[in-house]
Amino acid sequence: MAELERKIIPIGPFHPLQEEAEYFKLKVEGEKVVGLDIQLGYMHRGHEKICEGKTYDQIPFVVERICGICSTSHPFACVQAIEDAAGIEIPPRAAYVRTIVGELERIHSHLLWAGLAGHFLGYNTVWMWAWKYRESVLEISELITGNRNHYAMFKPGGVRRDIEGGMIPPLLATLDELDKKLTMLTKAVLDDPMLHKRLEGVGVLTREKAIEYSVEGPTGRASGLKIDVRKDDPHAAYDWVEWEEIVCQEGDVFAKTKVRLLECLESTKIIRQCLRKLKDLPEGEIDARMEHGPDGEGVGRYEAPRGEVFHYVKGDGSMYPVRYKIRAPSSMNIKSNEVAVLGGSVADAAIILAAVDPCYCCTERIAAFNTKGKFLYNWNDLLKLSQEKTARMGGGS
Amino acid sequence: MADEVIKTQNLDKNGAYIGGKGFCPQRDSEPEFKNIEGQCREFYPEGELNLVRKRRWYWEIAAEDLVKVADFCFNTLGCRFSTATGEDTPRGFTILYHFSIDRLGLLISVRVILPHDDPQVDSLTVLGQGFEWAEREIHEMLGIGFRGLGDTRHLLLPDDSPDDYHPYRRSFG
Repeated sequence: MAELERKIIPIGPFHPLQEEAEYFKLKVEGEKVVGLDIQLGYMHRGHEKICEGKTYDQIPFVVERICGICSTSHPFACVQAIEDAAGIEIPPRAAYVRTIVGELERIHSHLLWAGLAGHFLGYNTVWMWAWKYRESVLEISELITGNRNHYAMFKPGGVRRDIEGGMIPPLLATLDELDKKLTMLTKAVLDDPMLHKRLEGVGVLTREKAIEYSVEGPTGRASGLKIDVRKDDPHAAYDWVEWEEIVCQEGDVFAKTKVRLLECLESTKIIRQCLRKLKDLPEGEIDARMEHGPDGEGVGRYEAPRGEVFHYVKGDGSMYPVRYKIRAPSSMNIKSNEVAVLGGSVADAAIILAAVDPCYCCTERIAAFNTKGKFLYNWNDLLKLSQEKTARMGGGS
Repeated sequence: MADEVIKTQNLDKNGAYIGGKGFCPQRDSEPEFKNIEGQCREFYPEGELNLVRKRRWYWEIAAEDLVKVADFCFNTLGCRFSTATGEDTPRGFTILYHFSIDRLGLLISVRVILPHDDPQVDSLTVLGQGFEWAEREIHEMLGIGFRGLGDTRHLLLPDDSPDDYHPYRRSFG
């Protein structure tokens, strides 16, 4: 048999698998993926340097703009880093409000992922359900914070707005409705034979490789790593409420889906408990004042929907930091695609690269040429390949 | 199948989710923290271990012992590598390697200080692929050389940035 020619399929720099523009060079022999090279840097905006020129009150607003989907994760980690360095304790009301906002974001982010994963597989029913139910989460967010996204709720020492007693009963009622929908969606997805066939054993990241690549969040938990900053490094109200960490052992795309969907249900559990406890708390302070900038180092960590967000701050007593370091979870997770995608087929590449949830957006622009310059695929072709595979297996919509 | 999965997550009769019993009792265990502190001090007594807060430790070590200490953290203590922070300070270029012991929520930041005139340190990619991007970022932003780092292409800066273009240096601009 003639040896197969090795070809490169460039995915990116701009395409809808990623929130940020990144460049995946997928090396293939025939249908089989044999290598991956990842290039970053297209979206580098110098946030760390910008933060050094802002006061501690301004930094949460700057870092909120890093990501559109997990917009509250960066401020969450940021205010914790500043509070860690300055030694500030936040009032209990603020802790509950922070937890509620953080969990709302997790639900809508996971639903967004589930919907897009369904779309990539050519299973648009999942996409329509997931995004429809996501709307009700965004409406709750709007009710609490005034915005569907970019909530601007956090400040060093507390939060900017309270959740008042009168708002809580309608919120609880909406949550009950949401719970039913989420349960239905979760059961439907986990019981779907087509999704089992299409996702089980696909894009496996073994536990050993997960440790070597230091992955985190749902990507790590789907590979059997019991890591969750909310549990491990207690902050806000996460250790005042009861909830479970979701851990799976398989490491494939189905396990990642399972982890994310079940986490949504845990999130509603957390929000419900927080709202009830908030109702019983006396009205009071929602922020602790910070009189001067911290003199020393501090680290803030928060479990964003995609994994641990890490912020490091070093201050000299003034209102400006000397050094500000930011590390988002995707920068640890995306690199693990190097091993997850190996040995799979081109038709599975789209869903495997998307399985670490590197956020999505923007325009699409890919084209594949062989070494002689002959046109092979563009992004739509790749998506079509994925969707056709599902159709061949007798599913899709 | 879905029902079985969901049942383990505390589903009540009406299909609504109720609280579990998911506390982490080992998390606040004092003997565990003491044990790890003892192990660190015994393994590398020359280092300066500073327990700033219960879960935030800073450990300053000599740059030539970095691989030894990182190997101890990553493989012996079973830490996860969180990230590395590079900074240009008056004492020299500082790199903080943040290692996390997740079961305790403990973050050990290993600090090395490199001279301004010839900043060189051994690469930790021998321990795992997870270190590569953090090192490539520090390499381009601060101009620190990592001995043994195979791939030294630009990670965040444009491909055609000049070799002496290091934006995080205090002398930059």
